[in-house]
Amino acid sequence: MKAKSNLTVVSGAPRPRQDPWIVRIGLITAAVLSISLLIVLPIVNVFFQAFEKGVSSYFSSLYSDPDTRHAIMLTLIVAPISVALNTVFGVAAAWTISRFRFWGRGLLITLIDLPFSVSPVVVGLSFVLLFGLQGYFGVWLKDHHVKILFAIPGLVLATTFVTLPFVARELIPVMEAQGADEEIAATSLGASGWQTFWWVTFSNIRSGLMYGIILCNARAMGEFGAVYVVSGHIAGQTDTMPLRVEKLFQEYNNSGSFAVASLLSVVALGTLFLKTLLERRIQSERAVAAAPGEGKELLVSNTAGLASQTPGAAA
Amino acid sequence: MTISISSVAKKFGDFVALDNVSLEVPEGELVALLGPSGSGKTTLLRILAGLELPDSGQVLYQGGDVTNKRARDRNFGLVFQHYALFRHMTVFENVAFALRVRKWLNPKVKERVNELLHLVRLEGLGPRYPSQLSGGQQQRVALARALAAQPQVLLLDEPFGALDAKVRQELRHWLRRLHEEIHITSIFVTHDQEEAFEVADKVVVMNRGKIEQQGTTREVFDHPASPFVMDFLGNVNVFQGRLQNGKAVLQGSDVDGLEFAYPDYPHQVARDAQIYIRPHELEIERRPNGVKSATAKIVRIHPAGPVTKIQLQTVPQGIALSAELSRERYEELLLKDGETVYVFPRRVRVFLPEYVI
Repeated sequence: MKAKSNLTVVSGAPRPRQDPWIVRIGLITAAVLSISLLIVLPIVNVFFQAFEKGVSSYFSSLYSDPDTRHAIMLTLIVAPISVALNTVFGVAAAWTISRFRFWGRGLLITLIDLPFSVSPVVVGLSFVLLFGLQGYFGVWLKDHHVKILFAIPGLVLATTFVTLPFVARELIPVMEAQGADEEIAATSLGASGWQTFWWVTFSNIRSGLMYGIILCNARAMGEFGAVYVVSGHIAGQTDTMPLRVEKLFQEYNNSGSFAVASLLSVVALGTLFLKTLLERRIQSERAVAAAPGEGKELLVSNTAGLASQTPGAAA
Repeated sequence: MTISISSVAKKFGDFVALDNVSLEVPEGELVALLGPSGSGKTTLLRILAGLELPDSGQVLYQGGDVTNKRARDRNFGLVFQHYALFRHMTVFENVAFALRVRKWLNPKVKERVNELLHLVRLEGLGPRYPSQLSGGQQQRVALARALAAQPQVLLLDEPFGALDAKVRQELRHWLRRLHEEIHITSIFVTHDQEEAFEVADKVVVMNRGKIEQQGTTREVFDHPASPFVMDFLGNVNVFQGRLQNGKAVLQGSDVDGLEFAYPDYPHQVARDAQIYIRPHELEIERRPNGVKSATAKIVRIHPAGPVTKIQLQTVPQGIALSAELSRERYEELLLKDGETVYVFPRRVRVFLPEYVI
């Protein structure tokens, strides 16, 4: 539904909600400059540097160096495992938090947020203190031939810890807003727990879940600090892509370093694109869920200036 | 007897939601659980549906104990205030849900769903999504969905609570007619006394986790068992008064004697009591008639609708009264604001407070 009142503005006449041109141009310039300088320029530069010696050298620096190849492989192994773990955890946590009131619920919500506020290096260090030879479990693990530090399990643990909040944080508000009524209805109609989850809960949170997974994946692939500490950064063994970027850079291999960096940038840009797509979908789903069919609420929020307006303007 | 609840109790922390409630709902009846919020009516419905476990007591269905049976195994249809339709499914799939769960074959599902959509007068809306329907249509889809697997009992939680006044009125009549068509044992929760009396065969009035009164709509309306029921059933004139020698005397009216005959209390010893007069049982006349009547001044007349509401004040005591006249009677009397008239109740109800020692 669109609120339409054909309000035409006579050109030249001062409009009621407009600042002087000098203020407008000043603010716009400041915004454009700071964004170009801080965001656009560095990203463009990554690709510029990566392709500086031509396309063929770009691909050969990615492909012919076995350590770089291994780093890409390792990231493609570690990130999906972390994302999968966090997806299972996130859905379970969001469901528990949104559907039940229990002792320690507030604590659980705070704990889920913890990785956002702890420095990744500290996270890595705490894993070293737990599983390292000087740590609590180190000797026992060595005796039983379980390798956590300086191996894939350590990388997965560190990455999972750092990216833990993404899926849960995304789902909790979605599930809170949707409430449990549909699930109760499904149960009363004879559906089992799994049927209720797949047919009702899952299809209702699908977009939100995808959103969380994409953000989680981007963060997992880019994780540096925690992984740096637990991996021991052994080239060809425990170096992930971000670690490889740093190592190549330290070895003055600029084109190699920027080539790997460009891959990470592509992941970032792809994430951004998918994120925008999903945001649109989630928004339209919310609008559908909220609209009572007649658009009364939309009209009210439009007049109140809360919703963004389509063509006509409220006088 | 189809479904019965025996001595069910439920507490949430310190709050007593249900206090030893027993209730029987005969086969095929439409029963309303009526009460203000916090009276325990929704908790009772949730216990019936298997969504909540009682702390003590039993739910019996056709003689068997179903207290610990899970909601999904009870096959009781549930209808919610906010419809709770599956937003990602079409109307058709919503209605078909219970059948898909039961692994019905496609042709049979199609046949049954179409039959139900016909029953709720929504033929042709199968491919739509819930968000494309009006509130009234959505609630009818919810009803069709609840009926799909031929439940033994239909439970409705404030089913018309979220609808506009006009749609609500239509759906009430429609639900009543539907019940006459399919005769499924139904229990619905409402806080709207008008709705309860219009739709149900039997009304159960609840207050503070207890059943205040249950009976046919007529019984409850004509013989309210307690001041709470009387109060809850609609606007009513309430007075503090005294009983003595077969009379009910309104307080503050000793001098002029605003009193009514009450032969049920012939004793000499005076007792305080609450006196109730329903507005439509208060008669207005232009001259005093044989029965002892009171003089009153008309404060305000609301002539809108089929019933004319009149506010009065007794002279000289100044006790506020409200009366309701039929349109014809009002036009016959030609009443005007500020006029002095004579009022007398056709009926007085008296509730004695319990003795407290």
